[in-house]
Amino acid sequence: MGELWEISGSAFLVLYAVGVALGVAVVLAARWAARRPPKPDAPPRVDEFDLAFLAGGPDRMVRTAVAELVRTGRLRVNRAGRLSATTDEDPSHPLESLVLRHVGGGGTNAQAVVRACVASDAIRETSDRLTASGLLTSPAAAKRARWLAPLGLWAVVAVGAVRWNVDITEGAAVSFLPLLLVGSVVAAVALMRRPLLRLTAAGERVLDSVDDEGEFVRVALRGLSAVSDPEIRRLLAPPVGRAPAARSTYGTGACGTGASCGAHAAGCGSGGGGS
Amino acid sequence: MGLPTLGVGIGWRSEIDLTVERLPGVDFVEVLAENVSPDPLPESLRVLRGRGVPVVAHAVSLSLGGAEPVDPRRVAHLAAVAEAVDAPLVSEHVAFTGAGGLDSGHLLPLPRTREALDVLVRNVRAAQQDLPVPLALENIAALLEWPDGELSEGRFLAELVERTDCWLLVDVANLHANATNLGTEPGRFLDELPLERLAYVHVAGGVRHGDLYHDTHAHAVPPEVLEVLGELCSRVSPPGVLLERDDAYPPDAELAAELAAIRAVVSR
Amino acid sequence: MTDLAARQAELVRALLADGPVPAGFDPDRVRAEAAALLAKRRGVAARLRPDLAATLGDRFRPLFDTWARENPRRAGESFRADLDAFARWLQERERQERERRSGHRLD
Repeated sequence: MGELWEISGSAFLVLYAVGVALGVAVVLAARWAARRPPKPDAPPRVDEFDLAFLAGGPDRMVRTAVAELVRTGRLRVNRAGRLSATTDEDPSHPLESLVLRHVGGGGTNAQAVVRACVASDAIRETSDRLTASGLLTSPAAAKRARWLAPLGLWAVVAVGAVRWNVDITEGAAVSFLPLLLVGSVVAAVALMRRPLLRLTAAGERVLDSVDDEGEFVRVALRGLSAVSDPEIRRLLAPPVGRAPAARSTYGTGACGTGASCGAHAAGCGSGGGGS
Repeated sequence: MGLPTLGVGIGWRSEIDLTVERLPGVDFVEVLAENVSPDPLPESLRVLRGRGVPVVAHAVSLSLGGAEPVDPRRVAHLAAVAEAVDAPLVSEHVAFTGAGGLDSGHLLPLPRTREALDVLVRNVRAAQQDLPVPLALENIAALLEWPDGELSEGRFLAELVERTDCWLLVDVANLHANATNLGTEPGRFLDELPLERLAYVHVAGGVRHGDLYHDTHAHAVPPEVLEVLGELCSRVSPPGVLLERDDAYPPDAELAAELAAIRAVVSR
Repeated sequence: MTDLAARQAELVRALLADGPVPAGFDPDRVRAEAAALLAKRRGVAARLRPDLAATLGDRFRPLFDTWARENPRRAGESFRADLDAFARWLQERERQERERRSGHRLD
C-alpha cells in the first residue's frame, strides 16, 4: 500500500505550506486591490461632510452636521443635551436640512439625531459619490475581497484535512500536519473576520493631505473630541462608555465596539483595516 | 423700603438655559415658578446664582383676581422657589385663571369694578402674608374687556398699590397689545400709575393677525413695543427691564441683539 | 362677592366650553380669546405629548380641538393628567371606529 496520491508525508507538508502561503497571498492581494479602484478622470472634490464620512463613516458625518449647526447657532443645545432648531432657513447641505427638520422644536438629543439620520438619502448619496470618486471601496468589491478571495485558501485547507483523515484511518505516523492544519484554519478565519477598511488608498491620501484649519474640518476629521467648547462637547457626546470609533470600518469592524480605539483616527484606520 | 436695581435681563427657560448663562449683558433673570422645582434647583440656576446674578420668581397661576380663594399650595410653591433662588422679589399678574371649577390655562382680565378690586386686594394681602419677599403685580394683555368698568386700568392698579403696598411690574408689550386691541392709551395708563413703585418692566414680542395683536412671546419684539418702553423711560428710570421669550427661540445672536436694543432704549 | 364668582364662571364657560357669551361682552372678542386659549392649550399638549402630535399628524389639531371644547381642564388637574384623558379619548374613538367597520362587514 503506497502513500496517498503517491506523495510522501514530508513532501505533502511542504506542498501544503506552499498552498497555504499562496492562498493567503491571494487574499491579501485581493484586499489590496479592492482599496485601489481605477482612478476617476477628475480629481475628487470633497467638502467637510465628505471628509467626515471618509474619516468616520455615517455616524461621524451626522455628528459633524450637528456640531456645525450648533457652532453656527442654527441648533441650540441645553444643559439636558436636548437640541432645538433656531431657524426655519433651509441650509445648503441636505444633511443639515434633514437634521434641522428632525430636531424641529426640540426634545431630541444628539444621539437620537444620529440614530435617525444615519440611514438617510443624504448619507447614501455621499457614500455613493465617494465610492464613485474612488475614495471609498465599493461594498461589492469589499465583499468579494473579504468573502470570495479566501475560497482558494479554504480549498487548500480542505485537501489538508482529507489527507489528515486518511492518515488517521491508516494509522500513519504522527506528523506536523495537524498543527499546520490548525494554524491555517486560524489564519483563514482571521482573514475573513477582519473587515476591509472602506477607505481606499486614495481616500487615505485625501485625509492625510487635509489642512485641518477651522473647527468644522477638525470635527470632521477627529469627531466631537475636536469641539473646542468643552461644555458643548460634553452635551453633544454620547454617554460615557459608548464612544464611537474614529477612522473605522463603518460597521461590524474590529473597532466598532471597543473604547480603546475611539479616541484617535490613525490608530484604528491603519490597524483595523488591512489591505 | 426699596428694591434692588436689576438692570437688563431675560426670562430663564430650561430650553435656553445655557444660552441665558452665556448671553452678554444679562444682569438678572426671571424664572417661571410653576416650571421649576426648588429642590433640587436646576443646575443652570445654581450656576447663575453662584455668579451673583439675581433671580426673580414669576408666577402665572395664583389667580389673585379670582373670586375663589387663592390656593395656598401655589403660594407656598412660589415662596419655596423664591427662597431657593434667593429672589429679591416675586411677581404675579392682575388676572384670574379659572372659575367654576375650570382652569383657563392662561391669564384672563378682571372686571375693573370696586367689587373685583376688593377681592383682588384681599387675595393679594393673603398671599403677601405667605411670601418671604416683596410682591410685584403685572398688567396683562387682553383680547376682551368686561362691559362695566368703573375704573381705568391705571386707576385700578394705582388703588391696588395704595391698598396692598405691592410693587408694579409694567409689561410694555401688554400695553401695546391693549392699545391695538382695546384702544387704550399707554401714555394715559403710565400717567395714572405710581411709577415710584415700579419694580421692573417686561418686554416681549408678538404678532399681528388681522386687527388683533397677539402677545405670543414667540416672535421678535416689534419697534412699537420698544416705543412704549421709551415712553415709560421718559417718565421714570426703570430698576429693571426683562425680555420674555417663551417659544420659537431664535439664535443666541438674535436674543443678544434684542437685549442690546432694550439697553439702548433704557440708557437713552 | 358671589356675583363676581358667578360672572367669572360664566365667562370661563363661554371661553372654554362653548357656553353662551355673557351679556355685555363683544362676541367676536370672546371667540378670539377662546381661540387663543385653545391654541395655548394645544401648544402645551403638542409639547408635552409629541408622540400624540406625531402619530396624529394633520389630524392632531381638529381632534384635539374637538376634545378640548368638550373637556375643559378642571381646576387642580395637571396638564399631564389632562392629556392622559385626551389619549384615552383617542383610544376609545379608535375602538369605536374599528367596531363600526367590522360591523359593516358583518352586514
